[in-house]
Amino acid sequence: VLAKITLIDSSILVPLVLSTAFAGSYAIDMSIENVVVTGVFGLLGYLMMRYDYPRLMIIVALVLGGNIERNLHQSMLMGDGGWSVFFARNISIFLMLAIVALLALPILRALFKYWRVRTVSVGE
Amino acid sequence: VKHVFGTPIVDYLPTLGLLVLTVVYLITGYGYAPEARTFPVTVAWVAIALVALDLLSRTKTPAGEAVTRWLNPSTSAGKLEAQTHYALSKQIAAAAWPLAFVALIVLTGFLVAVPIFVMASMYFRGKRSLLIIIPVSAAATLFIWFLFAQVLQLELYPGVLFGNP
Repeated sequence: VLAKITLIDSSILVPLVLSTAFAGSYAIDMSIENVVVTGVFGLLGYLMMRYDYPRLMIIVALVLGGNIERNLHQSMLMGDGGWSVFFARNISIFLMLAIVALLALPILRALFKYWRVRTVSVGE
Repeated sequence: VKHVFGTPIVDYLPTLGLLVLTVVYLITGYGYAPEARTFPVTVAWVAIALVALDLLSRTKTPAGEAVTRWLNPSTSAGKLEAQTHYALSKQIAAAAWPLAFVALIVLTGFLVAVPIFVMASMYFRGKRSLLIIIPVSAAATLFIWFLFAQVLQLELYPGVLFGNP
């Protein structure tokens, strides 16, 4: 039954969803600032869609950013302020290499595709 | 429209805006105590590198096309050009409606802003008849009041104009 909501025309659905969303953001801690922040992030989301920026990353950053910062500070304190603490143990070196590999994956995939196409065209 | 490196200059504006924001963030970060600025400064430098790549990828130069092909192949091969382009006035309107609603909520509170916004949105944007607009806006206001004020027992924001000082 709830799925039928999606069949409602957007000119009716959009104002209803916006009203409920803004009221919900106010209800979190009864603060009107939350409503303003919701509006600003709505605008940001629209601009990100319009200019083709991925929205998922900003959600991940907002959810995990605080935890990452806290844990980075803890690690830096353990390492007397130096970055070497991130390369001091095998498990941390492995994780760093995994991060580098993940970041390099699109480049490697594109290079592999390029070489494959080139090999086929040279073969022909 | 003036082009720079084969791309309309207006297409660089979001990236340049991001670059300015990131530089401001970086300068602010360097104003913090050394132990507190590690994270914001690291994030800002990574963001500057990414913004530089984004700026390069928007150009129609061999380097720009190579960056797009290697780092973000889904946007290459004219896929961005194939997207629907809306008139600037429509885009501004799309962004302005929710912001106007926020301003209305701040000024008049939820129980006044919700029916006004629902009615105005359905009338001007949806081109609906009053026979549909009036019951829908009344139902929306009733739903918000019932859910938040009655079920959740929350005091809905009364607005700057109607609230007690």
